[in-house]
Amino acid sequence: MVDFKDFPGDGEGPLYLRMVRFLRAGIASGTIGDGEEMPSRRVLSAILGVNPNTVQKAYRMMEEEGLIVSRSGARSFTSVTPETVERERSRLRAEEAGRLVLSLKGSGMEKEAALELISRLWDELENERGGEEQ
Amino acid sequence: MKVKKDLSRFFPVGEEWGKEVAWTAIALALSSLWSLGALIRLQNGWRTIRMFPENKVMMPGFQTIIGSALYGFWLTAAGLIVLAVWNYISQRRGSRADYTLRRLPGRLERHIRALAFPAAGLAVTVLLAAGLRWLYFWLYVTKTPADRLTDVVFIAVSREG
Amino acid sequence: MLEIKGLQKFYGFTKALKDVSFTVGPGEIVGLFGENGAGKTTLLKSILGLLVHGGEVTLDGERVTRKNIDRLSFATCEHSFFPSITVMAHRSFYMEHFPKWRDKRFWALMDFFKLKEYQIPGYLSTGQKNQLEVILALCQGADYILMDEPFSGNDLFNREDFYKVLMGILEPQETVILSTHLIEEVENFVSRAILLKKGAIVGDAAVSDLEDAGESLVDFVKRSYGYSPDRVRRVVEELAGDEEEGEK
Repeated sequence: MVDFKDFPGDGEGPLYLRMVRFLRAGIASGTIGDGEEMPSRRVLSAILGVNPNTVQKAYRMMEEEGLIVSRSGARSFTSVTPETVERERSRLRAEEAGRLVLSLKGSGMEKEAALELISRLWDELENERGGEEQ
Repeated sequence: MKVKKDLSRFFPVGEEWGKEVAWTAIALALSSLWSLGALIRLQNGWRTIRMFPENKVMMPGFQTIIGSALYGFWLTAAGLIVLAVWNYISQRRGSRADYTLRRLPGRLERHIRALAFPAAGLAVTVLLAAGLRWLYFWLYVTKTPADRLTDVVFIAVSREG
Repeated sequence: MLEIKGLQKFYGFTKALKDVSFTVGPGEIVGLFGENGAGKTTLLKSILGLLVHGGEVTLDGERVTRKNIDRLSFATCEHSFFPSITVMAHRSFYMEHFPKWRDKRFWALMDFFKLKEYQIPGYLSTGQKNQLEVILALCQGADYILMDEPFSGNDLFNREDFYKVLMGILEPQETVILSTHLIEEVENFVSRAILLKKGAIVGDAAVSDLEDAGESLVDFVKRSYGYSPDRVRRVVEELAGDEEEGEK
């Protein structure tokens, strides 16, 4: 059963989008696999204290994105292939990067400076890691 | 209580109705006892008549005989009326149970519970008081020598005669 | 459908409700918001027929009378249970007068709140009293459950647990109208927000629409009330200015 135990109580944006993002993140990180059962709408709305309509909206979006499928009545299961995982990973990365770009641009940085900054920080992190291994 | 029937639906919810019935019964018993004052006055009147036959002593008027004899019943009746009012007030004490009672599909429920016993009690009080009054009147009219009764009653007696 | 049409209520010369109109359908979870004295309690009591009012309240087209009043239930912070009889006696009373009593739900909620059937409400804590009040309203078998600040006196964990249980047990056709000032807390589970100010409706929105527009419930409420964040800043600046004058 897909576990929503760690679903954050608050966050940015409408609740139903946050739920979809939570599923995506789980798929991208591998914690949510293929064919796992999704909690029923009513149970999930009780666990999270969230209106059943919101859960319904989230599930519908998940279905539209091909992340879950409905089978035998009210039960839904995840539909995850290696392509799905890769796709969600890329998406997540793009979203993260997009946020970073927005933030840096907002502070008035130029593209070259930004690329330089990222390159420098990347190397620093590599060196730290290398240092630890030694 | 030997009475197996649960009468609680005629009383406010949660009321210890046994106590109310008991207290009312006591009040009526005491009122009846108190009404014996009329009997005493009757006997005083008759005795006076017997003791002084030459003086042609008249029996006091019936109203005087009755006097305060029925005051106990008036008091009991007043108490029952207060109880009826209190029954309504108690629906709003401690919590607003009246909100629930006023939402019941049974429109009369809360009124039955507030008024059933006081109404029944009042009926018994009135009957008892009237009954005793009639009893004393009957004694008054039949046991007093006809010539010692005052005019108004005389007419009634002669009709009965 | 619960239709409220042109509801008016006077207290002496004060108009507590001014031409309030709205319609609530099955399955909606409506948050009724407003400051103290806005008329939330007056509105709920008027719908239930506990207050005399102008205007009309209909249930599926029929006026609210003894015939259909069992379709409405009520939980209030004033508590409408009987303080001197046991919880079990309450169950008997409700079962007798409300044939659609939901017994299974009753025992489930009793278990959840850890209340015992032999307990007497008068001796319970405020939090437990609230819980009993809410249990009775939820188990009456009503289609429209009206709640007036039912959690005043319950701690946060209590409340959050309750919201979750509510979401779990409500059936799709059951409707809740919940009057509360805890807007942030109920934001996740209400489907609609109706805002009252001085007896009139100043806002009525579906949460779904707010979501699509990217507005949080709290922001919607603030906007509808004309809340000006500047107020605080201005006062503080004024006071700070005075202090500086004083020190000179």
